[in-house]
Amino acid sequence: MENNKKIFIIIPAWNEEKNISSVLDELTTQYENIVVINDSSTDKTSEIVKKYPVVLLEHIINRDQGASLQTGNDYALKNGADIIVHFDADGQFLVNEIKDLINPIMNGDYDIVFGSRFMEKQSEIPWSKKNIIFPLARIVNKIMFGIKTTDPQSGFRAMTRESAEKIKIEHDRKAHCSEILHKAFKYKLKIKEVPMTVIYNRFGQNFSGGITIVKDLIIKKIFR
Amino acid sequence: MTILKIIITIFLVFAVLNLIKQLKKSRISRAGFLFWFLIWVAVGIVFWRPELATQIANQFGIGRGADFVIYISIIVIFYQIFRIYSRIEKIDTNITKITRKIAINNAQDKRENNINN
Repeated sequence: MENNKKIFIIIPAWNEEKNISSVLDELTTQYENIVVINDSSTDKTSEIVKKYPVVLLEHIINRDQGASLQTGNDYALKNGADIIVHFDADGQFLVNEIKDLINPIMNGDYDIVFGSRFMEKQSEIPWSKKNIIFPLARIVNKIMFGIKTTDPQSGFRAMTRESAEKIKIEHDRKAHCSEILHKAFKYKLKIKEVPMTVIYNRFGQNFSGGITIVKDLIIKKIFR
Repeated sequence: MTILKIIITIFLVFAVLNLIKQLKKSRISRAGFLFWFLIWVAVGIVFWRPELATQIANQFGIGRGADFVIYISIIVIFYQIFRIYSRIEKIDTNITKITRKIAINNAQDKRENNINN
């Protein structure tokens, strides 16, 4: 499966004691290099992760999802990753769909591949997300960054080493989705979207979460 | 007005003394000291010689000294908010960098192919 390319799966985790076991049970049977970033969880996430043959990085202070992903990227790059995959700790993505993201990179056709909830496979997306939040997110991406993709907030992605070296995630919180998309376009990377399935449990942004993302994007634009 | 003048004067004396203390302890730059010193002196002038503020206001085409003071105050406050925001952003970024460095330096690697197991 790994085709002598070193694939690193990066999983940010914050208070994921209920879900992380099932994710790691499945992932560890298929991938060798799994990096979990425990973002200062207050539950037993860290103890659970320690039972698995993975790399555990402990954030001593909670820095949120974007910061955790960049910590994982830095570790993976330092340890010779060829391909980096961003995965989720709460079981919303399917392990067997990782190959759909890395295959286009393995074939040498693309630099970065995003999973999209809006292509052939149909995720059961809540009505408010599908009809209000995502259309608004698309507009924000289009206005602020000139980006047009089917899924404006995709957190399931794979990228080459070179792409990860270029894309430094500076948004510590949840705005990393828009940021990575923006930088992928900015650096003129070869981008592909592939269909993905998302299992919605307690995942994602509600409307106020969306507002926070827009606020973070604007503040970073002003102060950077 | 006299009571207010006394209260403001006491406050200003304390503010300037505190400012000198901060400068002596090198907690504030010389430029920062000068900036705040001028602000407090300006506040003192406005309270003790309001007609002076009116004269300055007139130079800028503003009728009343009090209005002039409010406009300037708003500009100064906004500028300070901007600076504080920008500083917080910088501190936030630095905290992330430190947290990241500690996390990577103390990586707990239990992979089967890891020779350090």
